[in-house]
Amino acid sequence: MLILIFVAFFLLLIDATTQWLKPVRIWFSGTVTPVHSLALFPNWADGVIDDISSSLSLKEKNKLQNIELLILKARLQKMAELSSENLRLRNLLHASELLQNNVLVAELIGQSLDPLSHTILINRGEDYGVFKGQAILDSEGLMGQVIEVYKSSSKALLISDSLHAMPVKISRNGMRFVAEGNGNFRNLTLRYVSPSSEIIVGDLLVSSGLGKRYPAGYPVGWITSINPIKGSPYLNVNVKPTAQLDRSRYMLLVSQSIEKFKVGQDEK
Amino acid sequence: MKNNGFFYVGITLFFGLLLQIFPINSVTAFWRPQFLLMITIYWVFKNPSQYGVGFAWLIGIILDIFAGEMYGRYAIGFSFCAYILIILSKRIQHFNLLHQALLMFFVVLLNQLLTLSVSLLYRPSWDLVALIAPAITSAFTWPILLLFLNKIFNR
Repeated sequence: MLILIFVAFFLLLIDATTQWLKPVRIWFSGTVTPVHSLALFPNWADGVIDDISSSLSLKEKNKLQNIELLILKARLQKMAELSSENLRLRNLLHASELLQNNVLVAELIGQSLDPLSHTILINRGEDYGVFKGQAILDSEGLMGQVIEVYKSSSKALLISDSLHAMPVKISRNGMRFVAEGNGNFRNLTLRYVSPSSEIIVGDLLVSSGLGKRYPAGYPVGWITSINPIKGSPYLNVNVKPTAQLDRSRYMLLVSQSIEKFKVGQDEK
Repeated sequence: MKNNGFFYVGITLFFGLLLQIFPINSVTAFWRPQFLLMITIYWVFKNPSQYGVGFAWLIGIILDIFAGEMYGRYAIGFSFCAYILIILSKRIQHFNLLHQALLMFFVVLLNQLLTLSVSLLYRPSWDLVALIAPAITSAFTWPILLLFLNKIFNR
């Protein structure tokens, strides 16, 4: 009987060190995904109750949302102008082409069983063109990246996982850092920040786009505290993620494509 | 229902799995009782000759598949817990509810210790709450679960 335990341990060693079990994982995803969706039944019930009870307030909701839409559209107009201005300025500078981001809406269908690992399961997979390394956003900021793609679902690693680190920069002055997750949904840490670097509490960190994994310019977090570490030449900097990593149910998958007119093309 | 057919075992385990994978708040997730392990143990207690270490191992592998992390992790915990319990099964039969709850605390603690330790192979993080919290809640859940399941599968 103890042989089984050794078999399990052997399996674990194989899985931890090689990629051999990946096809098995993909093969099982067909059964795993529906059950994960089934486990969401309280949410369905919630939806049904909501549908019944709120048909009266629907009109009111609609009205509010229309107003919100108007405000957002007005903001977007300004953004469009800024974006084109930015493009023109970049053109003057002969800078590289701007990237345009396309999004796909996804819903959370599962979370990791182990509270120490911050991975989630989302309901978009290969059939929607999701690819490994694709960035995930919620309405507030960057959430993480896709690490495994299955047929109709995919697994994503959140930026707060202790295995995750991402390149960021301060939006105010462009200083670059690496933001590491530490297993806490409300906290990231910046590594190797020297005391002479110009950072202050309240600075907004955005993705820098280095490493070509995350699109540049999406908010990642706010700096909440900067403390010296005893006996270390570096500072201990804590960052609060802007995204609601453990709350968001709907998220966006971002993919990049190069914007229509390439800048600096007449130069070449 | 005397012979507790595979159907009932399957149904209870399926509900256990749903309770285990149901997404909850990140703080509460640490305190989630190990439902699937407890239901597995229920059947191991009830019929050790039919549902033994191999059975627990299989359920562990199924949970591993649903967890989507490294395969074999929960299988180690489940089968080891079942192994210990089968060795002690003669003694456990005379335990009252309180003693069983206490036993469950240590069994879940053992399971957490094993699964967390082997996860150090691929993820260097360790958390004391993740180790103890499920054991405490499982100990409190066990009497309720036991009475509930006994009520259905009238012993």
